[in-house]
Amino acid sequence: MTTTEERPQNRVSPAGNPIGFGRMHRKEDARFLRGQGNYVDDVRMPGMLESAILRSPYAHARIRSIDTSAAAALPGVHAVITGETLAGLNLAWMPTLSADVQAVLATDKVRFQHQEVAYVVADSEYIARDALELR
Amino acid sequence: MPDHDQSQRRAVQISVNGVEHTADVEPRQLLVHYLRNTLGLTGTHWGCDTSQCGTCVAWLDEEPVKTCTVLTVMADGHRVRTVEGLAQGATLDPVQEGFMAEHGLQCGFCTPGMMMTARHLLDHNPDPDEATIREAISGQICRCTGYENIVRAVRHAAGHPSQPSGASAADRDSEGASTVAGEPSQEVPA
Amino acid sequence: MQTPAPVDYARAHSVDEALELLERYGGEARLIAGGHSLIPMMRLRIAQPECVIDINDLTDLDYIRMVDTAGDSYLAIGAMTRHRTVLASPVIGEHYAILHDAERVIADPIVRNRGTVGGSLCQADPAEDLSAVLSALRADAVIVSANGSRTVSVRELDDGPYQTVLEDAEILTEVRIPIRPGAGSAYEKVERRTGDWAVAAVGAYVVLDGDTVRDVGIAMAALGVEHGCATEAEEYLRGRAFTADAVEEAARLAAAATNPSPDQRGPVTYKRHLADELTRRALRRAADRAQGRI
Repeated sequence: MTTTEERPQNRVSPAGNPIGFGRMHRKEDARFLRGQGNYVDDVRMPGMLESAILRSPYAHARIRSIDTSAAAALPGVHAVITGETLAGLNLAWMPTLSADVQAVLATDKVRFQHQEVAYVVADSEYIARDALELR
Repeated sequence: MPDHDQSQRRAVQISVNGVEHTADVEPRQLLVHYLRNTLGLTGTHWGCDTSQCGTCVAWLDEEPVKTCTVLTVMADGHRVRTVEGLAQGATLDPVQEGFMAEHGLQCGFCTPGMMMTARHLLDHNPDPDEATIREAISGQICRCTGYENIVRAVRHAAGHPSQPSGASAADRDSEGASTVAGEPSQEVPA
Repeated sequence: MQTPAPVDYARAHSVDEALELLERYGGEARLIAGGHSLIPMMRLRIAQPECVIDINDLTDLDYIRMVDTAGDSYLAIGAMTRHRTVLASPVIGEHYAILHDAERVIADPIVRNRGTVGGSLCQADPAEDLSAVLSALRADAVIVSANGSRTVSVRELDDGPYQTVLEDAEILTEVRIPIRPGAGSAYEKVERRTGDWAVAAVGAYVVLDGDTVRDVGIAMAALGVEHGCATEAEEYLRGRAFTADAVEEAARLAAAATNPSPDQRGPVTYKRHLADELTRRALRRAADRAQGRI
């Protein structure tokens, strides 16, 4: 006599949840699979602006000055923020989770290549990126 | 400094998921941004600056392309299909079913691109083996799954499930419980 | 995240129209076909053309044909032929497996849907796989202008990194590969990951008469070799018996002629070692194919 062992079918509890063998399908998958995720870049709000960051090409350099006038004058640019702006608001250095501080935008000097130096806020990522060229 | 004159905009007419759209766009606009920003179809993602990650993959005419490396104006007069055009209303495409059944996504960021490539593969090769699937997605990156379950998902869609499909998502209520008639609601005695 | 600078756009519907547009814009326009070299450069703003001239409608240039005229037999590949078409072509697989070897490792399957043969050649990246393959095969490029057309050996096409001998108002329309009955060919590439440029790559073809090398071509990508050709190794092998020793010496000559740059893909010693090893492998596999062993 032969016996065959069958894999138990997925069972469902009285409340309607899968139990036993098999796995729980995730609730969020349907939305993701339809392209209805809400990742940060998907968030769209009325009047929302976009930004671009100017980064230092130098690993270690003193910042003598930053001329933001050309960038700020570009149509579609709403603000050009530097470490100086932030320092005036005591926001240039912010506490980290490791109980130290980290530079938000460089003030006196840059301490690593690609350190953030200026922050452009504009109508689109294209215009914000254009503003980075204007120095 | 190049001129930002708005008159550089061009009128384009592009069919997206079967619907004709017209818009005035800058020639420099990347197709991925036309889909996401102009049309609000944010299912196609923008993930890298180097045409490597493939989160932007959608179809241009009948082929998957990296939409971050196509200008919108190049798609003028052509057809685009995105992840939003995979499902038929409430009914998920078998590729989507496969990803759901086989846990083919965790964060889901690479998933639309992976599925658009998978759909194209299966349209041309209905029963691909694992090596063929891995080759097909080799231009796209997933940081979560290690690709194993993505391969299983595509195999599932090709008719080789390792996990039962179960009810589709459309058949689940907000608690995830099945609302499909006929599914057992009593515990089977041991 | 990177976006291109403002640019103008024109679409050409014929080669003549493309030439007219190129003439009109002088050197400030760039043809765009697959766009997977140009658009990444535009996003980083390394390239800022005034205008891109879209030639994707030039479908007349998308073909692979055997041409057999009196005394001249060659494979003609139109410049707009996409990489994926080359990879899928049985005619190419039959005559020059080296092209299939290379296409399998050029970029990735999605990029290959768009990238074109002409685009790859005209990009003239020192690590361009197709340039090395077509140099190895001693292919010719047909270049068209308002004044007519000229033929340039692919070995003479590049004029330095990212430069070709094409004038501002010229278009590469076709590549011609001589048919060599009995030839075997192969391409060997080492890359860090799928879609990457080569750390080093070598392509070769041989035509054997018994065990004697009647004809041979060897070219290298990403190894700092002028026009990619390992001419000393080629000269050494021609007329010689194809023995293990001969292959070893040819590989040594090929590697000695390289001038690789140390970079994130590896130091000079590693790349030279690869040049040597990959030349051996390419030659051996080409010979195996020529003699029907694989």
